[in-house]
Amino acid sequence: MASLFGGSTSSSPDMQQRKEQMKMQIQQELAVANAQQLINKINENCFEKCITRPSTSLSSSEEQCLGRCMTLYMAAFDQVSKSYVARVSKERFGQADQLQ
Amino acid sequence: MKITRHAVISRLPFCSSYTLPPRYSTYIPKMSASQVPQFDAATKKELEEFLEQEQSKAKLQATVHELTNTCWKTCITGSIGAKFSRSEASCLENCVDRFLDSSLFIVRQIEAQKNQLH
Repeated sequence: MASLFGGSTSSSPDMQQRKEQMKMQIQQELAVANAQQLINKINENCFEKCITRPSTSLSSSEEQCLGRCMTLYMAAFDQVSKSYVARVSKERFGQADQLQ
Repeated sequence: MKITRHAVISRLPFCSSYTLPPRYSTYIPKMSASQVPQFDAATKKELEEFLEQEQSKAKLQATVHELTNTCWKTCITGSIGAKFSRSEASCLENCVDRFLDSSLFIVRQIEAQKNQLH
């Protein structure tokens, strides 16, 4: 990072490069935060569903349950995401009056 | 008080309560301390706008995480099979819209009560 951001020269192509670098870094941090959040939520909810009585190790049926649960949680996430985006754009573009 | 479209949007749940994940928010002061001053005004402005866009994306994603959590807990009541049962699937499909309807209903109730007082 130091070599990228700490240089004393500030010629235009250099600045351009640093700008793009910074944008990419911001996007990456956001993507990582989003993935972490999804993983945490999956673990929270699937643990609750699949590991009802923790024993000395995960059984194979618990692991199978976790595997299925992960897939289903991600499907639920996609569904919710679709519904929410559709609703927000509906509210924003003119049909809000119907709700009143 | 009439509920305007803008008011409806800004009152959607989680929109105001959301805070950025810590790693993401510490990014900004870190930038302004040493890196940003090296950019010219136009570039700074562009980066600020970019950051704002990314922050609203983060906000949207956080809302979807919260809603998924709520809807999962509400709708997925059976044990975990290979796919959702039919009732679970339709519950998930309706969950977000009904949650937001509830939210708007409550806001309107409060507004109505407030108007009665004046």
